[in-house]
Amino acid sequence: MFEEILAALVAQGVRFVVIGGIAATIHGSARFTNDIDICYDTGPDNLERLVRLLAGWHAYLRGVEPGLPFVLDVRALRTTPIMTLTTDVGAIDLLDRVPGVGDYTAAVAVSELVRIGRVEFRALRLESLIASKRAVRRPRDIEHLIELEALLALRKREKNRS
Amino acid sequence: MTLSELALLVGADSKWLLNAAAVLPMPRRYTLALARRLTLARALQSDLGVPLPRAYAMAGEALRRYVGDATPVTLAQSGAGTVEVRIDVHRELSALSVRMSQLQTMYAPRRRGPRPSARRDPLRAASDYGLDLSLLRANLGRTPTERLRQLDGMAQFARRVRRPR
Repeated sequence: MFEEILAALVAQGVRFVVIGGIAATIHGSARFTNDIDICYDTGPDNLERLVRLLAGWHAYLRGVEPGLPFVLDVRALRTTPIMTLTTDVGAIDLLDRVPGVGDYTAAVAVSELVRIGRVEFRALRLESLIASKRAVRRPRDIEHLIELEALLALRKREKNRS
Repeated sequence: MTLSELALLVGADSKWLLNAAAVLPMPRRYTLALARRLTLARALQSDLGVPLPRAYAMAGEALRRYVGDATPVTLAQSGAGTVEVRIDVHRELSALSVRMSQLQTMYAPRRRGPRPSARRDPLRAASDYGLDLSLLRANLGRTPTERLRQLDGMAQFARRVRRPR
């Protein structure tokens, strides 16, 4: 499911950085997440690719009743900072900027290249994930923050040992 | 619906809503119908500079004439027909639908009060909170691919369980 989404994004040439729960999982988080969060480049060519992909997946808004007015095109993506969608291949959240980090360019600067199977993409570094969770400060983010900080401490400890 | 939830739906900040409430004949209860009308009024005010009371009246008219499709609603036209004010109600309501989805899936009020101390030992804080550190250690022993595939398996199971029969 997640691998399929990531593979399709990469295959379509969408410029994005994986953030949120999936990035946390890649760094070792044990928390369950059911959706994939990405921060995308708002360049017109990138938005077109993203819209085409989402249309093919029959994307619709998550958590609301069917049949509401909903336009998913380049203009809508350009003017909407956050979109929470459900698709044929799973739930996906689109953000044009990461809280506590900044826009796509800023997110790329604090991300690292990850390889899952044959798919290569960028994911936010653990330190930057912590910064974004600190910036949002919802109760569930604060719970997650405790785990991410513990992960960072464990990683540092292991690094010092080796 | 709370003031901050209505503000999120309208795409405005709470202060804008409070100011709007002072000059508009707004109902006291915050409803989705009010959010729709304020969304259009805000668009007319911020994009065209229409004074808010006039924009609110025009928004009401636009919603009455909206038939649920993407055809823009014409709100005003000059006598010669050379100038007209049109609003794409469908697109504005689509933006509102996006914010509704956000409200349902992501929104939670920010936690108030001081930030947790950064000087506290993170491992101790996690243990005190009840996190199983052995689970994190085990995860760190896996590759990113193994971690993601493990989560993928759990997510697919969750989807199968939740899917209506």
